[in-house]
Amino acid sequence: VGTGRLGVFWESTFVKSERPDLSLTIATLVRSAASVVALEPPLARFARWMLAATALAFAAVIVLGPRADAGVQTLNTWFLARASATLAIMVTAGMLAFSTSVPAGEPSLLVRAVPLAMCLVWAAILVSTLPTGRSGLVLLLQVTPHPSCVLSIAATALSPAFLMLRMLRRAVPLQATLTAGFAALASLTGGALGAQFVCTNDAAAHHLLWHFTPVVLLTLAGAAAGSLLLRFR
Amino acid sequence: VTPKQEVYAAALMLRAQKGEEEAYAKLLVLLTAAGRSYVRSRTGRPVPWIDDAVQEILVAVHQARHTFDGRRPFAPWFYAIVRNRFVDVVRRERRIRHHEITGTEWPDPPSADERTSRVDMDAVRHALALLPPRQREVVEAIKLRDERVRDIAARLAMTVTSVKVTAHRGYRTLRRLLGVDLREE
Repeated sequence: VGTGRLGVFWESTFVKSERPDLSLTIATLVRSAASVVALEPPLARFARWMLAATALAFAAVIVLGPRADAGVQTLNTWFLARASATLAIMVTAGMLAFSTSVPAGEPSLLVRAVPLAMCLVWAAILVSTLPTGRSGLVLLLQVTPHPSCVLSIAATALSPAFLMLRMLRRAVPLQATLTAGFAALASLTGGALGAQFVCTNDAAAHHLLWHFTPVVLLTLAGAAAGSLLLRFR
Repeated sequence: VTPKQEVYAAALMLRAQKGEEEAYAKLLVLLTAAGRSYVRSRTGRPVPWIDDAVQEILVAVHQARHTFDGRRPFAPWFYAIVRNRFVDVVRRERRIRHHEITGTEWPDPPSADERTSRVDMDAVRHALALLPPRQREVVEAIKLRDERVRDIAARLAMTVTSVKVTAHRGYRTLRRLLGVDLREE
């Protein structure tokens, strides 16, 4: 028996291959490939989420107790400006969360920056309406702490966020942090919009400190946590 | 992927989404070549982990196949996955190289000859000689003389099943004699 033949014997019997056998991989994948239901287009999934999120946010507002003058406030320009800003962020971030959740669905950098620009607009609306005469910092320091607003935002955002997470996990978000960030921002601005119907304090400083800032901070936390949950492996 | 291949690949993927195995196998073969070509073009030199990268790409395509939308082109969808997996594999390989190998050159993978040269062939020969006669006969017939199991069974007046069982026992005995840890299997 020659050494070469023994070598082949050894190789085929005991030595594990150090390279993957691609034909075996293909065969295994083909064997395990049952028919799949193609994912709906991002816009359709976003529309479904938006409808459900609106209903869930509405239910959360009812549970938390809407402010007595909620109906009147819907005609108030200041109220409508803040609501429009948060709604615009919710819509753009939500659309981007779904479009970035499928391969090749990532839009251009400019489009991805839209929700961020909307956040700046929201902040600008609040800052521009701060009372003049005192420095912004002094005003913010004088704001009465309102952690209940943070809880209202979080409570209202919670179920839409879970729903979106579930929907996004069915897709393949290749840039998990980006997708998770958009998802968190969409859910939390939805929460902030709902909280507007609960919170009776309409002061700009209060909204800047207890509505805008928590949304930004919770979005960052949500992006970090969501990236782990959405990571494509 | 050329435009023609792209149309072909999209059609295959749509059929694969419906569970057609043949179409899916053809698609994966096509994507293997495309994936390999991508990795080669990005690394600019032969790398030992090319098949690992291609395997990761194929598995990722498999996991993401439900996200392909037939109304959109195939190539951007495919290459988005390829880029993502490629970056992951490169990071992993860099990490491994950084932690495990102190050198500037990635060594070539050992050839089959190099791997087997590390085995003491005398020890294998000695272990074979120590096998019980029936086991040695079956193992040598299968592994060294390329005899068919059916022929061995006829020659040794055994059933095909008992030849296979005897061979399996022979391999186990050899592993024990050569000190191969069975838990590694």
